[in-house]
Amino acid sequence: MKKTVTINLSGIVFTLDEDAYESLQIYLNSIRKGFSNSEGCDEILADIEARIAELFKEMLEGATQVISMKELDQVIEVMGKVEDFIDDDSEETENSQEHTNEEQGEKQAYSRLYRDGEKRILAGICSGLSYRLQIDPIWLRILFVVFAGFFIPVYVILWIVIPEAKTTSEKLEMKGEPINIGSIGKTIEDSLNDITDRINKETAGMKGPNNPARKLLIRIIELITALVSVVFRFVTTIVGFTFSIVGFTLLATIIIIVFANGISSVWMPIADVDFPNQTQLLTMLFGNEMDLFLGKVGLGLLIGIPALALLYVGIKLIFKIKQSFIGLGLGLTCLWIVGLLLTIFTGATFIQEFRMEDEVVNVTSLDTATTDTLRISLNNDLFKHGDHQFRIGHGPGHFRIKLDEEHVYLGNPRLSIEKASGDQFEVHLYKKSRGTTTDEANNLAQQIKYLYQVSLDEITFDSHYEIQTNSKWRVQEVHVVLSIPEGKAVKLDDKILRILKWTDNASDSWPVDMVGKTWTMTSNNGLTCIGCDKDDL
Amino acid sequence: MELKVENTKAQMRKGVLEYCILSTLEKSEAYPSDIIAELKDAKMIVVEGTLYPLLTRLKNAELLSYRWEESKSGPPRKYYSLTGKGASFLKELTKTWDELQAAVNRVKKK
Repeated sequence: MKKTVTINLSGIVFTLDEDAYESLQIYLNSIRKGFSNSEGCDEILADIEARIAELFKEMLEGATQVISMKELDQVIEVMGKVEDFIDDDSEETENSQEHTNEEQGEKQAYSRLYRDGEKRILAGICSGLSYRLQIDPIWLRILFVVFAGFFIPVYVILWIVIPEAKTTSEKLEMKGEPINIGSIGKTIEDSLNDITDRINKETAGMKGPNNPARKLLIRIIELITALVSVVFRFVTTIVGFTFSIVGFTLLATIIIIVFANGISSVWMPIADVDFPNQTQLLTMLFGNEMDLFLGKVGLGLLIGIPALALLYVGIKLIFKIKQSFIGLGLGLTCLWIVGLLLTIFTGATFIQEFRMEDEVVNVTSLDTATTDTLRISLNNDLFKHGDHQFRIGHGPGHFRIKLDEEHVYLGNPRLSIEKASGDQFEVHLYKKSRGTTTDEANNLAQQIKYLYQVSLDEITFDSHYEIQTNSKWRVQEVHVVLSIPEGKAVKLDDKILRILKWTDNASDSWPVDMVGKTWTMTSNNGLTCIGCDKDDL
Repeated sequence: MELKVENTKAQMRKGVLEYCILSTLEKSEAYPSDIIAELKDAKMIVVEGTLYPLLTRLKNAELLSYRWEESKSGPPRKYYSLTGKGASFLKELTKTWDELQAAVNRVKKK
């Protein structure tokens, strides 16, 4: 069942399906618009309407009583679309159109966005936009060149989303009136007229045409519609701008971080990163260039595509572009899924590399240290003045890396103190690493180089250890245990705090309270501070 | 600008179209559907809509005039015929057309 509409076409009554009626209206309007500027527009339209009426009449000679879409489509096919017959008289009429336009001010309230293929330099975007903004395209071009960095992605997106004006009616739409208060007002007025018409129709049956209550109702609705359309346009533009800016920033950031080594340093709450050796650092982390590359591409797609989508939606909102490209969305989604899979794949491979752990131990007796009180101090030359390139954590015991082509220094090792079984000072060096297999972990642990200097009465620990430049970073760690024989003592230098772990002692003191004092290894209580003030511990 | 064969063809056809309309009216007066039928046969036009603006233009230039005639199968029809001015215009065009045709043939033969 379908609703029908009765119309009068050239003095003859026809019954049309509702959808056919709407299509016919659109069709006739497009013709009227197409000829609105040529001489004899009404006459042409009347002729065309008469011909359509005649064609309808012919079709209705059989059993058909109602004009449906099928009949209408046939008629339109015979008559042709407006582009088919406007295109044929281009220059002559175009010139006369421009004249009449200025005189009658009959241009469309909004020009639609098209790319201007005739006055283009690249894709015709600047000149297409210039009609909309009613400025000379040269200003847009200057702006584009000056802010090329920002505008290139915007330009490319506009290129994709804005169609080129091909037919005459599209060119006319493109060159329509600029947006200004007047034209916005006109648009609102047009849409209000529509609504008023509808209300008139619906209320006409119930009340008289000049009923004051009805007039008031119409006024109120006019006002509300005007407000809503202004607010709506405002909000969509703001949202569009926000989307574009966030999308662009994200996109730029991901491009710089993933594909360039341009940033010198970034400060983050948990990590300090200097970027000059970024590639070397990341290569050590990933183990091979291929995984690193796949990881970068994956992460770039994973974050870059939503950022691009945000920028795209933002631009669509700002310029009120209605066209959507299913292919584009589908393509981007596919790329994003590829990015996700790559990230998961590299992530999983990456985690595998840390699966196993192994440790090697070296025990050394300090024969040369014959003193009763051994001073313990730290050689922190390498990391003096915060001289590191990558750091995780702040305060004592954080993780640091310093690297160049020949060396990779890591910090910090950890130091703890135990009771020795013999009667000599001993150093137990625990070197630990992770790896895909235990063998690899063991191998990496063996390769760790850690040094300390011993003299008669002093031992100086390095605050760094070294791994090989061509090896991977797999959480190599160094733990030094200094064993003290019973009855002997150590004097802890203040600097040692940087590497000192919690160590059992008689007064349960924190490392920060242990440094700067002398501790003796006793048989009953372990490390004890002789002659210390209780409040200090 | 790129030169497309489609464009050139359309331009050529456009120039000749008015001449053709006038020619069909030389023999007798006619109503748009008759003119369309003849032009369609000759493959000069594809869609009917093309004709109406042209007829209006020729009428406004006083080359054509029309009279109304009632129709049983629809709204009243416009029957177009050549005016005196239209007839001499057509004569001019015919002369030019013959000259052009001769010129083209001569050029092509060489």
